[in-house]
Amino acid sequence: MCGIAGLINRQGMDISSKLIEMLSLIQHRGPDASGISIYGSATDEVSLRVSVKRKDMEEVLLNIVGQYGTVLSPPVSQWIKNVIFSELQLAIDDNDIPLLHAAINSIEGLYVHSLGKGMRVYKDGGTIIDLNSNHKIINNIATHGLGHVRMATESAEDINAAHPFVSPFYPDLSIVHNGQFTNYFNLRRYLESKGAIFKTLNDSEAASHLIAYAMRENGGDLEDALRMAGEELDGVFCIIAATAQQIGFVRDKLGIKPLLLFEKDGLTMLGSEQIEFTALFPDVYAEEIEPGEVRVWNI
Amino acid sequence: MEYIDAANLKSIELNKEIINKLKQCGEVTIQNPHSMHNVATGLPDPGKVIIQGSTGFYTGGFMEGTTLLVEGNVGWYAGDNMMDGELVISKNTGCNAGTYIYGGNIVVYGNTGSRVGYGMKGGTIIVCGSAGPWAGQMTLGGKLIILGKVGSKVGESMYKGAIFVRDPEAGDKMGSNVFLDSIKADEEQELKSLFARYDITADPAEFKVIRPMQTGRHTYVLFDPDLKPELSRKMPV
Repeated sequence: MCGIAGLINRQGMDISSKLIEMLSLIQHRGPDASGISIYGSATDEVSLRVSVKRKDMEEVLLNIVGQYGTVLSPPVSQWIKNVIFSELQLAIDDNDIPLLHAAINSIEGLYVHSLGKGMRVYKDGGTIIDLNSNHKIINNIATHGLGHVRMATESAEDINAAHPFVSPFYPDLSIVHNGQFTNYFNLRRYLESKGAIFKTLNDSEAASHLIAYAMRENGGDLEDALRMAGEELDGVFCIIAATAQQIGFVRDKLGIKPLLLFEKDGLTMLGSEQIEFTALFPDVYAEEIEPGEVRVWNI
Repeated sequence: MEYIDAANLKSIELNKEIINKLKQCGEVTIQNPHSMHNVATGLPDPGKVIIQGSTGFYTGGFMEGTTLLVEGNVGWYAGDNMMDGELVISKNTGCNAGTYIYGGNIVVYGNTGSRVGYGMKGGTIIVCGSAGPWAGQMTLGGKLIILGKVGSKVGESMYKGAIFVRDPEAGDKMGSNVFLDSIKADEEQELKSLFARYDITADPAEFKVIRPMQTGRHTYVLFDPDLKPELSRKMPV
């Protein structure tokens, strides 16, 4: 099933807390993993969030980071079940961000959850309560974000198979997905031929690489990339995608997976179920998105 | 009138309790439903159930003659597979309200999501607000009445039955294999009495009817069961 959420407030608000409230209301759609991505925090620093399989691999990580940029503060790491989670603040040239992202992902046991300016992805296996207790979520004022609760229908149930997914092709982009793709292996073969390194067997990771690859090739046009994804992805799906400047969605042509939209008082909310919207407004009716529709908002 | 506090009950416990209380006194009010799923599903007996608050998915599914009033919103598949009875919802519902119903009446005073009345075989659904895409898709019978705006592909691939619409743009939003027709005198009368019964202010003369086309069909004989939902009710011992 899975549940998804998207939230925009251009004036800025505590996006992470509100997304978590929205996701708590649709936890019944998926207890296997949870995650959020947050954009537009006021910080200018580039933050890197990485899952590390073993303690000694942190050295490897710092070595790779050192080849592309400078670590500004000692890594904040924490044990989460059987992985270590590291967050680093970096000084790095914008052009080197995709290279660093790909370099870290090329090492077995290291997986970038997010790498970007004013952008963070928090994700974990389990429920929203696990996400909140395992990660120190910074509740800064931000402008927009995505959220996801996962019910695993394929691939592993662990921290790395949680949403949102990011891709070194366009590190700024994160996506959340509700649905299944039936052409995963064809997509994967195509994307691997373009240099994608797959870190999980989750079909949503393929979608993140596909949209990110399209954005790299078309110069960062999210709407065009989502239209292409709507054509190329086979199956039933709703995807919400975000970059630092934009949020957009694509819904499959059959309209099997739910996606609702509500806009009021300068807020834009996307969600899977009506009840999600009660996190911000007590009693509203969100409109259903047309099957096959693509829409993008500029922040 | 009996009351049930649903705050600490699972839906299976709640539904057993509703059935017990209906047998005792015929009318029961449920408090604190907290958007629980499967509320009042599979009620076998006539009687009246009032839910004070919003409910989740599959509310009032498989009902066989009960009158169910929901004072709030309902999630998707409201009244799924209803055989007989009445489901009245004061606010909005999610998608697939009234899917596969055989008989009875469903009234939604607010808006509804996509595929309302999907595959319905009989009965009546009234939506006072707007409806999402694919309203009345693959309908096999019954009446679907929509007072507000309809979404795209209304009546897609319907076999039988009628969809009554007041949206002036409905003709541009129809699915395939249907046509827009004018309302007949007997249908106007039926709508008039339904609107009076549910206290709805609308003029039946303003409605157009979406009906299935008979051309271009295969030569198979449409499965046409003689439905008697009242027989499914348990006879008093």
